[in-house]
Amino acid sequence: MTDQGTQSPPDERPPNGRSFDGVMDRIAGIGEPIRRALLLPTLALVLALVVGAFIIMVTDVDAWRRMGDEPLAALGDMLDGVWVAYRELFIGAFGSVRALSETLFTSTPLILAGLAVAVGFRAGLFNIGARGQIFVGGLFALWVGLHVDLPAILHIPVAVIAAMIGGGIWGGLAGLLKARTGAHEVITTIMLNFVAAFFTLWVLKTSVFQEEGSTIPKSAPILESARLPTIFGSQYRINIGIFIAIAAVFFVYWILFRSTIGFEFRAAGFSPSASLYAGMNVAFLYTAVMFLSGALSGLAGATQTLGLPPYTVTDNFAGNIGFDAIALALLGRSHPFGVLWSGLLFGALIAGGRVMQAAAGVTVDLVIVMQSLIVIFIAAPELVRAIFKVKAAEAEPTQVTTGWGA
Amino acid sequence: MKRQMRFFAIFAVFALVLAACGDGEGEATTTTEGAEATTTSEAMDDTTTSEAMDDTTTTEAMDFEAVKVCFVTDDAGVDDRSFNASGWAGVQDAVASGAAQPDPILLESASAEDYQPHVETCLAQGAEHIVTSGFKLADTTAAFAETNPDVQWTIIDFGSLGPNVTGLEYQTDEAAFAAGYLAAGVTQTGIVGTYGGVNIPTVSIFMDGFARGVAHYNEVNGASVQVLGWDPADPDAGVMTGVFDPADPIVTATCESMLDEGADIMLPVGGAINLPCGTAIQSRGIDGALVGVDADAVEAMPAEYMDLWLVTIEKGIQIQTQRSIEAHAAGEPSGGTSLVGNLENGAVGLSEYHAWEDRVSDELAAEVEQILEDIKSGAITWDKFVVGAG
Amino acid sequence: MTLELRGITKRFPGVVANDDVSLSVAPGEIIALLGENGAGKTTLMNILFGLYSPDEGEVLIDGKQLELSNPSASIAAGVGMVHQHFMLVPVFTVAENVVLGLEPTEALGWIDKDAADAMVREISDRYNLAVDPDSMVEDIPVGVQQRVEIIKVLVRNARYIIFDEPTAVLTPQEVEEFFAIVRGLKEDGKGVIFISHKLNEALEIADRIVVLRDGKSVGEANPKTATENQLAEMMVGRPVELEVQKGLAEPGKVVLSVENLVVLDDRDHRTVDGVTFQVRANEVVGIAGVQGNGQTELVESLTGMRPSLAGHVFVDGVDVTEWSPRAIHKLGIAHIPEDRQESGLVLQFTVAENMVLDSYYDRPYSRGIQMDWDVAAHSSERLVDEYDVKTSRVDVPVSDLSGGNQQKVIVAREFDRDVKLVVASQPTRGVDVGSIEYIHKRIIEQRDEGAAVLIVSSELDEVMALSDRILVMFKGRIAGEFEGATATTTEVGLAMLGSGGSHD
Repeated sequence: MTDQGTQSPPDERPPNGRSFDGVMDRIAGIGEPIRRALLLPTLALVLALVVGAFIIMVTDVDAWRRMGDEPLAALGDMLDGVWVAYRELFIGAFGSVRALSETLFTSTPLILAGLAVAVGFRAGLFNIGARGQIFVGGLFALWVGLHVDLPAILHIPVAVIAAMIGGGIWGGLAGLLKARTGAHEVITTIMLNFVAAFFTLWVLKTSVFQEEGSTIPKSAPILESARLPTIFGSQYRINIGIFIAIAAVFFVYWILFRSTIGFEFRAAGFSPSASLYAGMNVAFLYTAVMFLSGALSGLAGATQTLGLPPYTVTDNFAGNIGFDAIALALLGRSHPFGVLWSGLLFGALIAGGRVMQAAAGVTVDLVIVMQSLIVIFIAAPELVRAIFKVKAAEAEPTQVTTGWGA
Repeated sequence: MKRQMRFFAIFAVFALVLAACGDGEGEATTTTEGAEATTTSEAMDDTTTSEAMDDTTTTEAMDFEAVKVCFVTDDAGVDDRSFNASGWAGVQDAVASGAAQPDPILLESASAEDYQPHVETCLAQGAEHIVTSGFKLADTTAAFAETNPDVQWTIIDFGSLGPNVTGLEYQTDEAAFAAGYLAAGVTQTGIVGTYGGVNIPTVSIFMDGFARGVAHYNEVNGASVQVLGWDPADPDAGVMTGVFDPADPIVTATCESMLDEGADIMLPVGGAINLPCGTAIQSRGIDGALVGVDADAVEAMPAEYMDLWLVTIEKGIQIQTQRSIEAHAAGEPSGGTSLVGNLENGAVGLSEYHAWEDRVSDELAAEVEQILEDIKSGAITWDKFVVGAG
Repeated sequence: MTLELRGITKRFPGVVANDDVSLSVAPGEIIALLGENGAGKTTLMNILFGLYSPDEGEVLIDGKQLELSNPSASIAAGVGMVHQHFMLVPVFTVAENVVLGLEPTEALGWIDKDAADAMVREISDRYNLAVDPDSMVEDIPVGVQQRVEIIKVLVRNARYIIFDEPTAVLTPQEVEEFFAIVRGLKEDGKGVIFISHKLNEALEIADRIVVLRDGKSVGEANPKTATENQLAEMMVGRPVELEVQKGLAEPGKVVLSVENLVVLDDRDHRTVDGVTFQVRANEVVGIAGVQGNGQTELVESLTGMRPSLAGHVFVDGVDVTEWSPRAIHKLGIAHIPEDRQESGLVLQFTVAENMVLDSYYDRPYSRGIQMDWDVAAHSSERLVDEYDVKTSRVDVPVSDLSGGNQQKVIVAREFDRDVKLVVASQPTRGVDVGSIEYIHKRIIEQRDEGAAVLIVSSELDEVMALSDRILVMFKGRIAGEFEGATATTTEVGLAMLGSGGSHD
């Protein structure tokens, strides 16, 4: 149905009304009006907070016990519980230097891994393997951090680059498998996650990483020279990793929107057949983009092994980052700046959630629930639109991937 | 993996809401499995009445000045049906006995990133006694114990880390040895099996003692009962699932492969990873049994598995945690020492036989009793695990 | 006893798709609804069929007001629609497709197959449709599938039948058969609305022609007196040259030479089975043929997008067999791909991004690996002007453009350099009359500037109009060759069906 009005009749367009103001930015993809880009995520956050409040209320067992006798007081208790929880969440995320430090520190690997997933989405690939790439990248950095003796000025870059190579190889492997054999990256990256996780578990028990005489799967402390320097002294965990993450945001922006290979990534992401027509090597692009994606995840691994006090590494250092990354890439509409924004949001939620858990007695799982809700609302834009009666044109879903057939 | 479960957290929430509305029970700190956590901790209250713990000294008579306690789990969370759950239950016992102030703080970790901020939160909240759970918190505990000498610390499953840190360690292989002897005595196929979550000392110590107990049975009785999953001569070859998440299919697969080889008595070591094995035994209709670990499985595990427990190798994390807090509250903190639980002091032992009581002959029961006594007295000894290395 | 639309207005965000349109059709009457893509034809019919609700206006059937935005009500009132894209289940039989949704069931819910077969047979016989109820839909030709759609409508007792671009998928012979069926419906007292943008078809079949432009009804024409030029002017709003104006070709040296080319399709069938031909400079060669006779694979192979099994392709004497698309492109070959939305454009990309889609990797659009979007934007601006692409800006997604303007983007991109050889596949499919005129002019311009041009089209009229020489492809082989100046539609059409194939 080609003529149903989504296209204006040609005559309606002013023939001489072209404007090239800021044309570069528009072509490059950030021209999407800020309002439109932020509207849906913001509404999703609001909805998640509302549902979260509801959950806090219905799980307030003490208040429910009083409900029979003094319903109003009980309801007041519930609302008070919500208030305290959200107040503490906010204080824990932004309320002090320590809170800000924790928010930024927690955001760092999330932003990096989120960029990794976003780059994949832009090229039409669904990289679920950030977790595995974090493991491999982190182990590469850990090895350099333990066994290479260099001054800090060299040691950190070498360890970080090693992490990118390690993560890149792990991601590139999935890309190569897709390019060569057509194996779907969703399957291969999930499987490589398992391989990486169990490999990590095993290798931490070998003499390669283990402290001498130890029998538990924990690495020796990495050398001082390889530890990411903290920014505000050792009492705050925030370290130069956040600068790496921000630099990565700009780098990914440049790659995607200003470089020729980024043009190819995006073309292949939207239309593999048009890329083939345009003379692009789609098979190479799959491998390249997965390498880049893996390298970014590897950076997140580096911040986890080189930047996390007490600088000894245990098996699950990838934590939930690999999966949070998928959520925040969606939330950030696969745009580097969007990922930065949503990475900070998730970091704040997690850091604030720790404090909320302690001070308000609300389980940390609520934070996970809220993250999940945000993503569900992002993934179901119709729902958000229906609730807020937002016009379709203003809150379009982001293109994620061309799906299983890609 | 457990971490992938978070995508299903939303569904868990609805389950939680139903659970919370359904029974009106639960605690201030609810979690995605809140209702179950409650049963666990309630059940653990009874542990002290079970056989092995009978000879422990009662501390209720003592005069306590209640301390403020903060409990930090490792990334498995408090509902691990393992050391985190047991430690938290011990904290609550300390509250009950008056050694800990009411409303102790529980901080659940979701990842390694949480350990330090949680410990910092404990300190900021003015905790006088901080219990950290598991070896993953060792380095963080050591660092903060050093900079906070006025605070007393207890670390579960690890040795003392300083003059103000009490280590809780367990010579569980002593009881596991007796359990192995028992298993070898009741197996009908002549094959028993064991597997662990991850090859760490706190896990493999069970498997090692168990396998040695089976070997002892063979030696004494001229039998040839076979052990799958562990060979004391080659500890690196021990069978491990790599996960502590019972929902992971690898857990069921690991158990089933041993059942395929004919094992009828199984010792899975690591939280609730024995439950899928129980399901497998039931669904195959095998006349087999499970050996539980940590807290008496009859109390700690769901009712549908009640017929399966041969015995539990009890590891008194709960009681030792309570004792460590109580020592502090009594004005004699045990910091600087490792409380090593063993048969002798009763923090390690075997539970009652429960459903399998009729299946264990009086002779066998007497032999097991004798073995327990011989280990205590040193008449039976072997190259035991050195606990607390690291 | 009529179907009447009165004062229908439908607005979409930013555009008025229908603006106070009125239309009526009586039983036994055929109305042609003529208009360019985007004129509002389909919107109007979707309103009639209950898929959209209008902002203003009403629909009356036999004087009774029709409940709008409810397809069931429309069907119940006797309105049936045969969509451009068939809505059939390929793995079901004809009868099963026909009764889908109104299954005549026996006890226990089993479909009464005999009853269904009988229904299909009865209608097929009455209107001379020659449809076998037991055939699997995926096994029958497109023309027959369309008749299955007609049966579906008739089974539901439609008295007014809407055909949306029904001839787009048919061969010339099938079009004739289709018209015979439509006349049969008319004789039976059905009212027919025939949506098209093809002038000759409207003139041939309709009793009355209604022309839409920009959502407005711009008038009616009597097919007995109107000419194609008059209709085209009504559709486009200005005089249009329908005849391709071209001089005689003066073919020069051989530019493209294809020798015994064999190409496999995705299912490893030899869809191109030993094809040999040449295209010379200053010459347009058209390949006619029913879709699916190897044209697609032939073009893909010539342009490097599909490997060949045997044979050779030479461009200017250079063997380019198995060259990559980029290498062939660099040689000076302009490729207008068959499916512009699938291959020719990245729809989500802006006009400017699409303008550099196959030249982004080199100066002036990039230096090293850094794109220079300013240069791309300004160059696109120039091309948009030069090639009459109607767009407000070059930074809007190309998907916002109409089909004709999208195609002009491709033409601009491909022709804006030294071109030796043009390979144009379905260059005007789904394109409005004004753009067709424009694109044809540009193609002839390329020929006159010395390029060799290969046109592949399933529109026989287009091949006839443009070509200096016509080749017919049938079952992967060249089944006939005709001189463009002397060939007749009949003889080429026969060759397309595999009979005849005279050489002259």
